[in-house]
Parts: sequence; C-alpha cells; structure tokens
Amino acid sequence: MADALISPEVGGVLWAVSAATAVYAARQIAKDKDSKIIPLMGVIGAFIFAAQMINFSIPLTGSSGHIGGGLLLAILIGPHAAFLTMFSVLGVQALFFADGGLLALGCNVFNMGVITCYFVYPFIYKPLVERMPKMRFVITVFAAVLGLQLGAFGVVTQTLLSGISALPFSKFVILMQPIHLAIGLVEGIATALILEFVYKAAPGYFKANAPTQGSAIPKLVLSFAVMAVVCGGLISYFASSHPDGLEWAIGKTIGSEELVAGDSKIIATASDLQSKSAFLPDYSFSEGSAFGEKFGLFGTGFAGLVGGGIVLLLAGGTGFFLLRGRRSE
Amino acid sequence: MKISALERAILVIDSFGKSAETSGLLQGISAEVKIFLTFLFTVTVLSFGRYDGVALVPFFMMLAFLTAASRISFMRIFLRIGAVSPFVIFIGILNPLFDHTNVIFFGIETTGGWASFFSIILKFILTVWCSLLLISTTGFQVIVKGLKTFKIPQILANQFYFLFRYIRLILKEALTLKRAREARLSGERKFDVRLFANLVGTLAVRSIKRADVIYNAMLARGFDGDIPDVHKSRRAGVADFLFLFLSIFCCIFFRFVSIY
Repeated sequence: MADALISPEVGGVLWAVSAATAVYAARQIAKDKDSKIIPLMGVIGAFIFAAQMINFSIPLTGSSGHIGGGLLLAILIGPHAAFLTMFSVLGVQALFFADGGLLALGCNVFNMGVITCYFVYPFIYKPLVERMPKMRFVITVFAAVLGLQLGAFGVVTQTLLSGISALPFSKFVILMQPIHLAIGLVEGIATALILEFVYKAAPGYFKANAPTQGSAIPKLVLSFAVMAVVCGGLISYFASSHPDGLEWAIGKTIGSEELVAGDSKIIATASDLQSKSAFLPDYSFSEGSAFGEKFGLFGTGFAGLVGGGIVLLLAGGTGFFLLRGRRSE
Repeated sequence: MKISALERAILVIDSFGKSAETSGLLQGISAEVKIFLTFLFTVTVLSFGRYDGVALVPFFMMLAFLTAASRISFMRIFLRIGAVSPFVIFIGILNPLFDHTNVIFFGIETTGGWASFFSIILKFILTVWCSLLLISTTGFQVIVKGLKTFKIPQILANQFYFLFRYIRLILKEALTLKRAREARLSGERKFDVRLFANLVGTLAVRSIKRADVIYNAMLARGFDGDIPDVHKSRRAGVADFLFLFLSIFCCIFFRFVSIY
C-alpha cells in the first residue's frame, strides 16, 4: 500500500486504529514485566527485515517469493510483541526505503500487523494448533494464506474507499485475491519450514518467551467491537456521498449508476435473489419502507454499523466456537 | 555484478545516515516540525481530486527549493523514487481501461483514466520525495526522539532504537550466510524453498542467541526494564516556528488558490 493510493480520510482512520492497537500492545507488554522481550524484539525485528530481502524460487513459475513475517513473529514471540515489531519494521521501511509512505503506514500496519497478530494468530492459528498439534505445518500454511487473503482484501477496500482506483470492486477482488492465494501458499510453506527448523535448532526457547494472553482476549474483542462500529459508521458516512468504484465506473460509462437489467434470465434471477436476501440494499434502508422514509439520511451510516456488526458476529462466533471447543477438551 | 536487496539496504541505511550530518536548510530545523510538516504536506497533496494535475505543480516547486537549499542530491532522490513501488503503477495503469470520461489534463484533452493515472503518479512522486527529504535531513534516532513528542509509547520508541541499532548487523550476517550458500551452489543465485528456510532459520537462531547475549550485557550494566533517553534533541527556536508557519501558509495557499 502506498500514500498515492489512499485518501486522507481512509489513511487517518486506519492510522487511528493502528495507533490505538500499538498503545494496547505496549500496555500488554508492560503488564507482562518480561524485560527480556525488549532486546529480543529489536533483534528479531532486524531479522525479519533481513529475511524479507532474501528471495527463493517458486517451482514451475520462474518467479521468486519472500516472507512477510507477521505470522512467523506472532508464533515466535507472541502477538503483542510481534505487533510492535511489525510496526517498527514497517516504519523503517516507510522512512528509509520510502516503501509505502508515512500516511499509508497506518494501512500497512493494519493489513500486515493487526490482521495477522490480533485476528489470524489468536483466533485461527493458536486454537487450531492447540487442538491439533500434529497438524502444525498445515495450520501454519492455512493461517498464512488466510492472513494474506485478508490483507489483500484490506488493500482492495482501502484503495476503493479512497476513490483512487477506477477498477470495479469485483474485478479488483478477482485480480488481487488469487494472486495472493498463490503468494500465501508459498509464504505459508516457507514460514512453516522456518518454524520447523527453529524448533529443532533451539528447542523449548520460544515457549518461555511468548507472553501469555490470559484475560486480554475479552478486552480485545470489546475494543475491536468499538473500532468496527466507529469505522463502519464513519466510513459509510464518507462513502455515502461518493458512489463505489463499480457504480462510479458504470455510471461514467453508461450514464446511470445502476446496471440496467437485460433480458438474461440469470441476471433477473440473481437480482431477484439478492433483493430478497439483502435487507439493506445499496447499504441503506429499502426505498419506500417506513424506516427508509423516516431515517433516510442516517440509513447509510446505519447500514455500515449493521454490516460491521454482522462481520464482527461472524468472526467472533467462529473464534468463540473454536475457543469453546478447546476448553471442552 | 548486480547487487542484492540486502547489499542495497545496507548502502541505503549508510547513505541516509551520512546526509543527515551535512549542513543545509532542513538539517537546521527541529525533527518535530519536520515530522508534522511531512504529514501536513502528504495530506494536502492527497486531498486533491482524482483528475488534478496542474494544481500539484507548486508542490513540486516547494520540494525542489527545499532539496536544493538542503544540499541533497536530486539524482539520489529520483533514483530512490524510481526504485520503489511498482504496485502504484500496477493499480494506476488499470484506470484508463475503466474510466472514459473526457477531461482536460495539463491543457490536453484526454480520458479521465489517463488523467487519474498521471495524477496518482504525480502524488506518488511528491509523497515519496517528501518522506525522503525528512529522512535525508534528519538522523533516524532524532526522528524517533521527535516522535516521542507526539506521544508514541515508550516501548515502541525503544523498539525503534533497538531495531536501528541491530538492523545493519543482522543485514550483514544475512549477507554473509547468503554469500556462503551461493558460493556452494556454484553461482546459482536462487534458492529453493527448503534451502531458503534453512538459511533463514539459521539466521533466526543466531539472532535469538545474539538477543540473549545483549540482554545479559544489559543486565550487567544495571538494566531494570527502563531505557534512559540519551538522544538529545534541541528545543524548537524562532527559526523553526518561522519555517513552520511559512510552510503551513504555502500548503494552505497552494491547496485553495488556483495558480492558473
């Protein structure tokens, strides 16, 4: 992600989220009172920085790949220390190598740090590995793929919300997600192999270093809930006055913001199915509904809140299900 | 011989450290003021519309003046800009395929897609140039010290110091490992994923052991969890405030007053 691809509003909101997460992570590390983590974070950050610059060949393609490092860090030193380390590595890349830029740093920290350290690691990797330790290799690959998919989706969403790319949403997603699926698979395998090597060469070292999470999770879930609600509401408010990329591009091409349904039966059926299942069509209350007439202006913000809530419930539900499964064992 | 990313990283870190020690206009301004202005400049540039082009010209003039007055090599700045982010071009180049609105860009009638593509490139050059000016005229440690004025957590500031202290060392170590491996591969420069994992795994273990040694050395010197701040930064003076107000005025003026 780079400065030139984001608007100040999106950059600002993501900076606020990343900065709040950094304050939270710093407090958690201070609470652990493990002073050994301080030099370890510095040196391992330098290690990740160097490791990202070594390429390996991807079989059958002739191209090369490298690791991102967020997941590897979270597994090795725990999510809080990993998050701050990623923050510093991305910060140095933005400052020294002008890779990304200062305003886009918030987006990059969110896409590569918050998602990996505070979603993929605690809710996917950790519970799964604890339940099925023998499947660690596969779970690592899966977690790396998921982390990169979510990160790529973050880039798509942030670029489109900024109104920079004229690429329609669906085409942007189709372009980005499969590329990152392939990259994620390769990165996942590399990460899993590095972990196997480290566990063999320095056995038992990291368990002692990884800070425990304990009661931090409920607080974190609560803070994410607040962030989701604030972001959903705020971004939707800004989005309401600017049509999304797809509608904008179509609008410019054919002079109307909505596609005119043709004769195709598939389009008619799909559109019918969508209008029945979507209770907030076009992210607002249905036209003509009593709610719509009453709260027209607030409809878009409300839709953002509800959408954010649904995503949060789905993600939280998955995490809760996994945690409950683990506890019952 | 083509230099590797690791070698380039070491060269970049060394070269920026040196240019911050030279004398010039921006080198004399306090880090806090420069950090604030870098953000202000970036936000101002990015707040322009998707088809804006001519309106960005005064911002190029501002940066050109500051680069010359700070005695920073234009060639080095542009080489660094050229070296980063093909991703921006990749995303931008798709705009002409989807946006066929008629717009005037720099007096030429063209499509909205091309106008927005070139606008992205211009904004990209401006924002990267501005960040490069910040790091070229301010030492990394001084920037971190400046960031503390903006209330970044102490532990994150320490992390930046530690990372900066060890980054060159670990990069050198990685380069040594990589060269040794390449020598044994008879000139083949690319590793398969297993070789890569073994090399990076070795680097990880060495880094961890180094961290252990550093921690013990710190304990021996009375480390109790807090790191005293030894990086002095001078207080902002009249010149700093003058520069700050002049820059804010320029940003606001060129943002809202049309020059053509």
